[in-house]
Amino acid sequence: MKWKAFLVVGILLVSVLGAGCIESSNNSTTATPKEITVKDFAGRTVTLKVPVQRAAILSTSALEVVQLLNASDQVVGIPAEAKADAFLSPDLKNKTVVGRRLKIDDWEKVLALKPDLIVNLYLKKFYDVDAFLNRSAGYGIPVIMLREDRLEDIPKAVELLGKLFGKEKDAKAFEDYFNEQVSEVKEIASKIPAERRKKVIMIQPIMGRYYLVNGNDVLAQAVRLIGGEYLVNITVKGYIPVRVPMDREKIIASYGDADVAILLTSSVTPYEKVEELKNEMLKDDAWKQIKAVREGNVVVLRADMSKDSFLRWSPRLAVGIWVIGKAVYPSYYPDWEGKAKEFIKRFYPFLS
Amino acid sequence: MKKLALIVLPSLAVFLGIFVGSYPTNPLNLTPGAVNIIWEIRLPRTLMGVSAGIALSLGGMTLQAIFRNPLVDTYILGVSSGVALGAAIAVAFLPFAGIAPLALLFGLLAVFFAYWMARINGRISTVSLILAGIIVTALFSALLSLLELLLPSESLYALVVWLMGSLSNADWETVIYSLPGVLILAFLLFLLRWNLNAMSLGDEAELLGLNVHLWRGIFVFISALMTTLVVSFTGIIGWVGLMVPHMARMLVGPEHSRLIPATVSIGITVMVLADIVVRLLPGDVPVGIITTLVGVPFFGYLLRKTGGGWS
Repeated sequence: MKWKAFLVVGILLVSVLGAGCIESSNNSTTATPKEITVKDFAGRTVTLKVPVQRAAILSTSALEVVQLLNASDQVVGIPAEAKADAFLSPDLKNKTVVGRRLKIDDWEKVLALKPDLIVNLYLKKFYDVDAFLNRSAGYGIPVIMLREDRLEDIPKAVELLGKLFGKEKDAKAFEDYFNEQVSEVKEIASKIPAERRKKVIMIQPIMGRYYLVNGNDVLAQAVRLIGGEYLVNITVKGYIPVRVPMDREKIIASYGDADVAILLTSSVTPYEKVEELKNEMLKDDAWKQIKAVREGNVVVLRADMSKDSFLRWSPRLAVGIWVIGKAVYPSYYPDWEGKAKEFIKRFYPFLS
Repeated sequence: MKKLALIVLPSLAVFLGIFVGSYPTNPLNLTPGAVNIIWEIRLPRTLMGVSAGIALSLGGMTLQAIFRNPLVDTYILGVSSGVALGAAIAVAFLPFAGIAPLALLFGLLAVFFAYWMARINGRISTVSLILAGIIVTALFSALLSLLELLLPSESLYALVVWLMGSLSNADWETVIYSLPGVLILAFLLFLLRWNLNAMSLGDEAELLGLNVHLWRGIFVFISALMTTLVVSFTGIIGWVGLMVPHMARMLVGPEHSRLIPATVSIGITVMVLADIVVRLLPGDVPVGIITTLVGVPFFGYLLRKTGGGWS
């Protein structure tokens, strides 16, 4: 009998050790924690222990970065919007929902998860950032704030989160890839003669109204990167919103000289609806006051949460710049589908 | 003089509605581009303003008459909460279906629900109908709040803006769905003006041989249908239904053969002018904000003057 008991204990011991080995081979987070000080995107100095083991992340774009870094295991809390994001694996989507729209609904739920980091966006127009930071500090949870303002912030965010999650190698691989894409695009853009430079506007139709993408949006920056001129630059009393609601007549009166009009989908307006709108635009004599409509240069691009959409501030934009390039200058830029396949295969293999 | 003003003012508003906007359209020298802008954008937008002005004003006037209460309009029956819920369901679950059909359906559903709830032993009193409207509004608003929790930020923002009401998305299709129905119902109300006069006497209307409960139901249905035919396309445009009937009553008195045309005239004028103000502002400000900014002080003045009853 005794030898049977020894056998069972032996098997259990081997299994536990084996599991430990598998865990440590997949995940570099078993490294001894060390304290580091970093500067976040809001310019705040944050001291925390890395690698982070239990992060609560309130932005889907930051979650996409974490997914890319293969650090999903180090996340304990996600925002409600994550459920609709196709670039997040089912594992990540099944984590506890702790907030929505950059806010935490129930702090008790967050505290129960014992997070060692909260990642959020620094968007003062959307929520009370100071109150949020004070509350987190009160609970002793460090917060890293990201910003989605600029294209060049995407690799920087990947680098920062890579450092925090102990995934520097994965981060470096993406940074190199992203910078390579930007360099290639810049090279193509430099070959476009000044007289062929196209004027571009982007419109996102939502619930029967038109929202213009403003010049400070990352998509407008992408247009400039690919060699286009972005026409919409609106300041409202010193504030520059990223989307500007505008009626049809004002759009026509203000941007009649646009060479290319890009219509964007959204989580509210699916591709088919925007395509329908495009066809109506092309037939409409009023819309034809815009050069792009008159000449048939109206393109529908996805800017939603689906896996075919690359026009969001997130690692996806590494492909998004090619999507915009092809839409604006079809003869200069190659088809982006190949780029998309490569990107997904390398960084989001569960989607391929 | 009053009659002339009631003809000239809406005509002037419609003229301005056609010729005022951000695109240059000189009526004395119309370019082909200007003609396109007028035909494709300004005319449908102005006609939608006409439709909204007629429907919201007459809807408010009718309910004020049958409830004998100057401080009610069609929204008190739950129309606005029904329309809002329908729009939110469309955004959250059925983006392919479009907003207007579901908004229309839920707007009417809210009124029917309120009507059914208020009907006790085959009779409907004014108080029970208003209370049922409050209950339905509360229920539908709670469901709307629940749905809003599920919506992503951009959908929520868009829904909130849509609910503020706007004529900027009007096109010929929405005009064709809205205006003919509103005109038919307005004409029907005019034909029934004597019944409305009798109903405004309250339960004494029964002495004139009128089935008060039946006619109350008919008038509630007409005003609710009129309102939903507009707000399911434009979003909620507030205060027009409260403000305009009072202005009309001040001008021509409470007798409906004169009050209905006056309400239509002022409704068109107010709505189209409010939209012209919106066009002259930057961006795409919801017209509901303008009507509210004008309507609230007016309503406050009215409340203080009348104490909430007929003066």
